[in-house]
Amino acid sequence: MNRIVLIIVAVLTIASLGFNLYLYTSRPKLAYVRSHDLIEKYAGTVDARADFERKKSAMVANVDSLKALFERARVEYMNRAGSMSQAQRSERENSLTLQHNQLQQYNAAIDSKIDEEDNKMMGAVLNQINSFVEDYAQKNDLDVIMGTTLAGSLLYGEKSLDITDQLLVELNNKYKGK
Amino acid sequence: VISSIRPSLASICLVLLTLACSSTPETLSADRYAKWVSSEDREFNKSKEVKNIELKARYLPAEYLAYREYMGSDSIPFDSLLKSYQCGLTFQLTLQADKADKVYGNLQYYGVRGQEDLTERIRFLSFGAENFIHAQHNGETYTPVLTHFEGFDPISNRVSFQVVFIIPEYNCGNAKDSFQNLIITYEDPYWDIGKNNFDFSRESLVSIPKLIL
Repeated sequence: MNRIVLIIVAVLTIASLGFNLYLYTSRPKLAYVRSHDLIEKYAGTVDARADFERKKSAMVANVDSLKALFERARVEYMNRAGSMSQAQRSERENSLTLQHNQLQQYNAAIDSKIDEEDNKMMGAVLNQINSFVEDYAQKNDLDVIMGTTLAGSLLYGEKSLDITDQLLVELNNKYKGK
Repeated sequence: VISSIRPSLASICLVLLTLACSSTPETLSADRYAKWVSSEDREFNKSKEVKNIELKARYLPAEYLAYREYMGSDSIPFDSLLKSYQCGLTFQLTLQADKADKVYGNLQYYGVRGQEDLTERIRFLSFGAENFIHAQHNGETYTPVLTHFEGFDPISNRVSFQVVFIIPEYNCGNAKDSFQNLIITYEDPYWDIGKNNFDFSRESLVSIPKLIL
């Protein structure tokens, strides 16, 4: 009788252990990253932003020099307007208005070009990060990697699940080509 | 005592065997040389993947290039060919994506808005590679002295370039002590994969077996 009880207890214990093990292994493996930190501290972002700022400065400098040219022409006209005939004034004002409109159009085109370059730059950086995160998850057997955003979609995460730092180290090494 | 020494001896032998297998051979015959250079195991064959595009950077040693040309010519001596290659460091960069990929299924036409765009793209890739491929060595940036756009290969959906850099410290193959790691940078112009670096160690560029013809 005792033996039967012992066998039943042993079977139940093994079944319970097996069930717990199954529950443990079958639950999804989660981790999260602080998205903002990951993006901002990624060497690729820092480099891309520096390149973008250089391009932007060159574009803005062009606009600034055109603005300065227009401003000089405008001041010159204001100084000389008193000695001009009505017809000359009208002609000069038309010319200045045209110059101003062209400047505004150019300014708008440059603004849009800057936006386009910015989107292109960030798009490429995010492509690199997303590809790496996907690869990292597969290599480390993670089922889900969540990202904290400034909008606050992730309200709480246990510190041990935060993989931002190790991910960043590997991501930066990859960026350096190592 | 003997029984405790045996496992240690075995592990030392194993380490030595591993080192012998992984170290660079000093010389290789032509057919083994080509295989050795092309092997994915070589440290100078690097790759990374961004958004389903596989980007590869591969170092092409001077002897390999000279041998390739030597096999295709019937009059130029090997040594003359080698001389013409040995001062440069040649790299091949390729971008490749699966033809079934929804975004990058055709690299040639990715992001192209019309015939004018395509013409401009081909012109830029053919003659402007120095704008998006460069090398860094000891803090200096080098643009390639030669670039060659190998073209789009529609069968494998691949784009490839060959670039040659002259790094003074490389000293035509007799590398000075100041010759250090070389970083090849590819700043993607069209496929939205950003700036990509490949760090080639001095060792991997200098320790190349000699080709025996």
